[in-house]
Amino acid sequence: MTQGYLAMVLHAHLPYVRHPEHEHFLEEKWFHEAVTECYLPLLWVFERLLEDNVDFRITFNLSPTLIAMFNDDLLRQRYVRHLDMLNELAEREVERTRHQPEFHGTALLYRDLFSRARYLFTEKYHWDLTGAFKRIQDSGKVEIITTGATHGYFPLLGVQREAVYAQVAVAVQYYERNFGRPPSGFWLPECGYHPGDDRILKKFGIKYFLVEGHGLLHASPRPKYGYYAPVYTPAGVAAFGRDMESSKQVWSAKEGYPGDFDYRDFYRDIGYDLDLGYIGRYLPEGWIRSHTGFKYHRITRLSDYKEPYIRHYAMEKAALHAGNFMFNREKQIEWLAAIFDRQPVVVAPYDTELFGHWWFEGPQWLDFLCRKIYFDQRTFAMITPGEYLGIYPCNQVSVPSESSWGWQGYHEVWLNGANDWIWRHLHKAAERMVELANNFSEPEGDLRRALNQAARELLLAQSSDWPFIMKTGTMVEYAKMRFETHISNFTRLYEEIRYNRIDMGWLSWLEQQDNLFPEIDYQVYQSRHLGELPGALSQRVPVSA
Amino acid sequence: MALSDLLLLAAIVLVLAILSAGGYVLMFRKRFSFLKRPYPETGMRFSKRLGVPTEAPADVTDVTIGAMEISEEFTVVEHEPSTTHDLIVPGDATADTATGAMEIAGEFPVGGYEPPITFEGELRRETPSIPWSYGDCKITALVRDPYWLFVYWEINEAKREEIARRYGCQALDESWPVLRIYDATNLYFFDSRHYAEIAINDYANNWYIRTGQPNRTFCIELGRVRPDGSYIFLARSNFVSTPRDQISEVIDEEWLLLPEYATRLYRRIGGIYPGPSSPGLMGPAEYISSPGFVGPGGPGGGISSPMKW
Repeated sequence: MTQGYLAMVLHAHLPYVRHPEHEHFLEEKWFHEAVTECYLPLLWVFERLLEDNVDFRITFNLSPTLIAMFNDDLLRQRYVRHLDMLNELAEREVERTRHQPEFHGTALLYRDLFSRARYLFTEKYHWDLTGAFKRIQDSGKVEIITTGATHGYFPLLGVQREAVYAQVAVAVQYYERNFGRPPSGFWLPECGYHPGDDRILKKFGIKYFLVEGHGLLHASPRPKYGYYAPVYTPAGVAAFGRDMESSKQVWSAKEGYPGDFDYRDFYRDIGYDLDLGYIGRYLPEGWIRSHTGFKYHRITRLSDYKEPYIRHYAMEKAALHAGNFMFNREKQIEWLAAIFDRQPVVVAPYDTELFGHWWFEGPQWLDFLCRKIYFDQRTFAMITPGEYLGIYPCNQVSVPSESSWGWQGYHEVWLNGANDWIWRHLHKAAERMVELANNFSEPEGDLRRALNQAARELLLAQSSDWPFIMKTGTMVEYAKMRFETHISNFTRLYEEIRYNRIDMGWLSWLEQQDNLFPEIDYQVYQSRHLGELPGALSQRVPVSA
Repeated sequence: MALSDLLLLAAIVLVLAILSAGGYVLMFRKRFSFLKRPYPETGMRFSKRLGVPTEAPADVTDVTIGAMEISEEFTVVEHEPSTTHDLIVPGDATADTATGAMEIAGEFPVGGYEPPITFEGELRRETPSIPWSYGDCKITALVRDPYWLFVYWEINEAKREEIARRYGCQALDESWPVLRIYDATNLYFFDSRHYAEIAINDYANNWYIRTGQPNRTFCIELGRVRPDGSYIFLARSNFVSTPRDQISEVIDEEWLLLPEYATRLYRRIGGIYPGPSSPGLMGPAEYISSPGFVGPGGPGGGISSPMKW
């Protein structure tokens, strides 16, 4: 008899990177790598689980910018070109390693994987990944939720409440257009929760969102079940908290599965190892050393010495780790069920790019896990948070504490010496956008276009990826350039609208350049929406899920 | 030997020397790769300057979606530069640069190099400028974590003039800026007698403040203190509340676990169950944060990714 539940949540997000002015653009590789290594393999795993009638449940967050990139024709074309390049390189690699038995097996594996990726993308899904996810959702086993329109960081944006409202409104509208129904769950960007934002979620019919473990643990009044059951915020939206034990097993640098010595090593890529004469034509600009996706070594040990990758060792480990994860959840849930008077839910959210990109065997681990949970034990079952609310519609009312899942648990990652300068610009731009939205209620054609484009530029500037990249120091110049570009575009649009001197030529060019969310309506920024938010519930009554 | 023979011999030796030097460079050209420019962090400058051949010039055939429309825009647009201030935006096209681009394109061999869309627009694209200040007089506060706040501010000319009028021209020069932090938790009205004051300097327009007090509401004031101790008020911030750093003392009696179960639960989660003497503290031994996870060593040392990409 089921003593508890496991809610696996996968969070998939990429910032909107689309550069039609360049044939090849380095940062568009992020999209290509994510689709090839994470999304297509995961879709393949889900399809096979469905075929085999395994009753699994996964909650999948697709960010609106990611869906927008799935839907964009230019990026699709470029991705197919990337796939062709990968397949060509795979063939050559098979040839090159023909007399190296320790690498040849892996080369054959890559050829199979990349030709399968091409088959899936072009023939099975007809270039439409959003449709593929929609069909998986309609099967009932995967629940797709949404997140902020451009993944803006709500606690720091929320100085202007209208900015947070717009992030949610645009996201929900875009989700409805793509999936044909309103979303029932919301992934707060970076799990950044600020008390009061849930009222905005309630307005759009969101039933639940996720917070970091200590956000729920420090809720006031104290939650009875720690973070093993949701609470309702006073607005009536359920908050689920992340479980640290299950996170640690996968993500811990010391103890996590992905660091196992038999798994594929991320850094020994042929883009770095092989001669430029051979590999150059597959690298950016023909010579910039970077990851191609072909890696032939396993981690082996904590040093530079790497042995060749042996697939069946890695698969054995993946199965072992899936069994281990399942065993630990069984024990954990048994222990909790003994002291609770209800079935606990263990919420385990992860970044999707972990499964496939950083941890090559991740999708297979997930596959094994879902099968083992279904076939090999009876202690717990997989569930989505929405279903859990269906079983337990009556929950404690409590206010979670402000928190995030970033390093140190609060807002430091997005507010520190590297990126604190951006917030004055974002706040001012939001203030100006609200002013524009409030002042223009019935604009005619060109003015409306300009207002909508201003909203787009503001949303693009608000992406939490820019301050994040500035903090971590990888492609800092790119992030700064993107941020400054969007702020300066917005400022120019603001002034042109204010002084009624809209440059239509430039506006048309900008609309093609930054073409995110074609149906956006700038009126989401009007202040009147804030007056219509549902107030706090005063009584502690069961709220229907 | 005749002079002409010597000259002939010298010429042959010279030619052979040049050929062998060239051969050496060709054979070991990788060693000379430092002659290529280093790759800057943005991909854009590099590809344009060296004119790396791509499939086809963007404005000759419609190989990329949007490229045709882009080039058409630039040939017809007439742009009046903004006179309010010099905002530079990507791909900023004046009528002059549009024709300049077409001329450049004309000189390039067809099917060879990809001409830039606009030449000046390309350079400008590298540094879009954002306003340094917005002409406001205000201070905004943000919460960073249970113990730290961040404030940023701006003082405009109008305020400076007002101060000069009211307090005298020397007032700004003689005084120094201060931040006053008011604890506004559970206050129905503003109690301006109780505050903490930090003296700052005129070079700063933002500051990190360590209040060290979780679960309280604050409001920050920016002002100036004159040598005689009097205070000039400049601006007041929004109210911000620091989050808790431990489990709540508020207990809902309808939702209560038996105390021995609660102790065990919190011990397992990693917190210390609060008693009369020890405050509950949340202190995981290893903070598991998103995204990516830092592993042992650098490249080749296991899965170590301090960042997403």
